[in-house]
Amino acid sequence: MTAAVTASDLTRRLAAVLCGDRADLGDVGDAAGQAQLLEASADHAVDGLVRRALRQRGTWSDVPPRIQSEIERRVRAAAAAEALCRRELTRAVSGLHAAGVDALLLKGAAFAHTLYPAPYLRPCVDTDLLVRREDRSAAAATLEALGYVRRNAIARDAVHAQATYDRPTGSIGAIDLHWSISNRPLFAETLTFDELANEAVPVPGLGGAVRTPGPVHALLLACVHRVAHHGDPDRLIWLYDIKLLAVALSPQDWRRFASLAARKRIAAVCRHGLAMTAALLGSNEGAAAAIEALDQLARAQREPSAAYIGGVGGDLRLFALDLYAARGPRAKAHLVASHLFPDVHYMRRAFGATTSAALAAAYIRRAARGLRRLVN
Amino acid sequence: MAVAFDARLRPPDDVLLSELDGECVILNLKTEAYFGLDEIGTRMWTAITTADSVQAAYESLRTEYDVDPDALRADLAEIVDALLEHGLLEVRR
Repeated sequence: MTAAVTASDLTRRLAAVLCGDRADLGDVGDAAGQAQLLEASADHAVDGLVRRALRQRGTWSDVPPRIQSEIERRVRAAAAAEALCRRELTRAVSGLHAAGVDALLLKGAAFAHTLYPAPYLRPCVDTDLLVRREDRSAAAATLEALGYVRRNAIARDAVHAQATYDRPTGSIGAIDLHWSISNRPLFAETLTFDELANEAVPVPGLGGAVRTPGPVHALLLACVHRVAHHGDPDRLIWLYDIKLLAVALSPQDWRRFASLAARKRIAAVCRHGLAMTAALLGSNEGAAAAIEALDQLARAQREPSAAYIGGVGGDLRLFALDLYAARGPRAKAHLVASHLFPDVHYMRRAFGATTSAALAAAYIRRAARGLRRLVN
Repeated sequence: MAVAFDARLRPPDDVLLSELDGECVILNLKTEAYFGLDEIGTRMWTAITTADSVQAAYESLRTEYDVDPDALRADLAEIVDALLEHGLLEVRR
């Protein structure tokens, strides 16, 4: 592999292996080329999928030993992490259930058990749980009683509608507690807890208490998540989630998906997610038809969410979009204040401020830093 | 071998297993150390942890693998010792 191989080339090569268009990794060249490929596979979180695809094709033994041994090592680590995450999530959900808190399992930890042939193929180092907004205090108290420790982060709803709880002995198996599907005001109410819960399905193999959004909602969330929170990257594991979700939908599900996407004003975002998935990983008939339908639906209405497609290009623009989406002058003022003045608890821990004077200085320092970042 | 072949062995409660296309990874939650077993090791693990004794596991494996019985016995003893040493198995009465 020469220095001219780009990240896009590697993405396409890995994608081709995943969707069966190629049976091997091809010429990976020298040590530098092998390192590039390993880095790409890790970034895309597809080590397990690549290994599995090549083993099924009978070409895994042709992979250079260095790549084989490193991917084998990472896959074993992923399997160990999966076992740990699985135990933590069943423990957390059981605890929440006992405390009368209804919770839904989201994203990778759910897909690992509902979509993938084996859970270790969908790497995750944490577990995303969604609760009702009014249950967040009870949920937090439950997790803390189970021994989790809240990670230091800004505790203002307008900025973060989530909090991360670490196990006392490490960060693998952390619980991300959400009380909204998104930190972005524009997407926060796209789907409410009760809408999701009404169609939630049990997660196999995790005990009856663990539920996750039904397939139509899961696909909507998967399409929104990558643009709303991560700048619309071509990260293969997220696109593979969409591919597997798409395979599972019936024609009736597809009609409902398109209708809901239009009603929620995210038709363009959903179309984009499906189209990107199709371009890299292939598509099925249902997804192809949905892409066409969503294209027409998106053109027929104004969708502010479309501004997130392709990434928003920086913190300042992201803030501007959040400000625009916040409903009413009070919400807008609250958003600005939350960014300018995070909660005292966060500031004390983040800046080590033990006195009032130190705290005031920390706020000023933070504001100056933030202003420099926005301007740059 | 650290225990007799008539011992009944089971994984402790703080040991988890994750399957991996016929192989497996065993995680010791106390130490957070994990161990990979290849296909044969995984089959041995399954035999040991479901049989009433190591001897019964050995006899079950003998019917599956066409290998020298003494070599199989030695391999089984070696894997049992390793699993016991790392806290992945314990003797159950």
